[in-house]
Amino acid sequence: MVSTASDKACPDVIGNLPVPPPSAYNIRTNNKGQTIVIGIEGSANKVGVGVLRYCPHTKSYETLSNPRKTYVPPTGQGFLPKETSWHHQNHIVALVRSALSEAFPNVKDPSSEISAICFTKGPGMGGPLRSCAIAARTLAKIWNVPLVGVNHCVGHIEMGRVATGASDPVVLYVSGGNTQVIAFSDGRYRIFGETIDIAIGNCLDRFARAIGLSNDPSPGYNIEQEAKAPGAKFLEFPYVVKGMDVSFSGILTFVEQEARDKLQGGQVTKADLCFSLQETLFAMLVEITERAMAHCGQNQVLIVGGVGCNKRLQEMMAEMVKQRGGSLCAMDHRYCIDNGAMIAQAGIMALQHGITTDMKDTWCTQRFRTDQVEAVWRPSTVWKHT
Amino acid sequence: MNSVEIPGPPVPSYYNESWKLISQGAEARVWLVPNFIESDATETATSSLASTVICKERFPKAYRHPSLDETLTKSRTKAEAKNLNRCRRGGVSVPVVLAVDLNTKGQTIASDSKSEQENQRNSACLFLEYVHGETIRSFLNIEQEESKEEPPSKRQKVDGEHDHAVIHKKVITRVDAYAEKAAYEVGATIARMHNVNIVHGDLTTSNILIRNPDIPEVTSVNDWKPDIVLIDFGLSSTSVNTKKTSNHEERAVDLYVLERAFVTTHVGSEDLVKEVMRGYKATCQSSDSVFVRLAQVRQRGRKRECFG
Repeated sequence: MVSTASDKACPDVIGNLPVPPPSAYNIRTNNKGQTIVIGIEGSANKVGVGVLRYCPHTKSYETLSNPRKTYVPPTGQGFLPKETSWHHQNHIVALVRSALSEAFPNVKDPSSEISAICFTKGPGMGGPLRSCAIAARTLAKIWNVPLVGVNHCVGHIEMGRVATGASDPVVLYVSGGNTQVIAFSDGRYRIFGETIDIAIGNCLDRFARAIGLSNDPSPGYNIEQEAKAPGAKFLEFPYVVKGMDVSFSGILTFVEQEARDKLQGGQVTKADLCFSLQETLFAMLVEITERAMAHCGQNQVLIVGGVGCNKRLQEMMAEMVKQRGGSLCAMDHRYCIDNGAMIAQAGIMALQHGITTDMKDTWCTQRFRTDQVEAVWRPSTVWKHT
Repeated sequence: MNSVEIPGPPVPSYYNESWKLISQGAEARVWLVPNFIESDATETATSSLASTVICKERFPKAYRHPSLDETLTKSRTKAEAKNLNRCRRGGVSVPVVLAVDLNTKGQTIASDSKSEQENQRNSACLFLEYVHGETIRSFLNIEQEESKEEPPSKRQKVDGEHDHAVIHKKVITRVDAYAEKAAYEVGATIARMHNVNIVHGDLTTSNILIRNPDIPEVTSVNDWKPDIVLIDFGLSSTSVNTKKTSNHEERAVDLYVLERAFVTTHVGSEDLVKEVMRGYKATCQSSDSVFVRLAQVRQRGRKRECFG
């Protein structure tokens, strides 16, 4: 079997409240006193199951397994809710089995080790979310363990904090459905700037479709490769930053038009378009991140979400952070790509501070803002941003 | 933050040691230039302006593509100077523009860091009147010891830079009658700016100054008139209301950005936001349409939530 959890255990994050003993909230632990949760994620085209362990002796979190499946639609198409739901429904049981057998290779009844099931409550696509929620509820009923509903965005952030040890970074969350600049203040993850229309990943995906790039492994990756072509020219596109916010839909319309008008005649190449689009979009993102840093007086940046995998974005961000004398957290698959372990990570933090979701409240929602979640695991009275 | 050594890119070629870096924001470096006007210049011409001025230097951003960088740097500096002058002509209190240099050559101080690419790019400098005063942000922030309360007059003074993290102190928002009056005047000033068809584009409480933040103990609210100055027109634009296009959208976004800046940086400032809106309504010529649009913008704000 291929290992899906290659990462070392990470110490409990500096800056969080101390983890209360499990008995304080009647959390069932295994015979070693460890808290182990399952995280189920399926808000977009990826479905993943992660098993995460908290060891009270070493005070560290460890991902025991984290298998994942991705639905890749045919070229020229996006992933539609119906097909994506079918995909998730087809794979979720096998993923749970494989996650459990990898996490507990010699345990006869792995369910006895589990303290809770965490699942994505939102935001995301309705069908896929509900498919995974049903799996989560079923497991919780069979094993008689509590459920913890998790905000997908908070999952990215918490996994990022744990994996990098960054206690309080400015977070740029960029994915197919989200574009937000986030900083923690007064008990919540506040959104300092975001897109006022479509998400960055959505813009890239749709552009890739327009110029006929493949969705395998991902449209954004193929744009990145295309943009590397030597001699790619920089074309001027609209550049839309409104205060802390950005807008992508106008740029998308513009570049789609350019592709229609000029690609066939050879006035521009695909590489030119990809290169210029990346340069423009990422410059906008880096700019608003820098604004948030200046605003909050922070000098550490963490990029999470699928678009965070883009090397050029990483490079530009690193350049900006260097100019300001700050630091950029390294890219990591645990928080850049959707997966189960990150849901388990945010879920276990809530669980350890006494938060579970009643069965009647385990519904999913497509709209669930990052700042709706109270991060009870972080001290809210400490004011860092003035 | 205000370290002695100068971080980042080369400084302008006319820089000398008397320049003081007062802030390095996201967009630009702001220098305090003590001897901008030579002392033997005619006294009458300079009497109203102190010889100390501000140099706002948009330095090259290494992360941006050179041609994008140049376009943005030049166009933003140009727009800023133009819009500041338009505001001034329209009776809005803003800093006076003294000089503009769109092609400022750099000089490297530290000889060890030789980044050739950066040296080739030029920055753009804007020389502005130095406004004595305080940001609304620090005006509204009252620092408190965690356990015991302090009188509101003990607020901290900050000249535009960011505070460092203070663990044992708690910052609360000033919401007395003076703060409300200042908020009202902020709204009125923004309205006057909108009346001359300028939208600011980046209204935060750090970009609004108050010239007279120190209120003598004896002054009653009625005798005190806050003197509000808008600064940082780096993202400003002009938008004219014609039959074809309406500029209510941009104006509403201006108000929305400010509203959010208030709510995210000043906890419990909801009443102050109401005062801002009241001041705006009383002064803006088309406030009704702007408020209708603002309601839509807010709605859009709530719904632009996430998928995936």
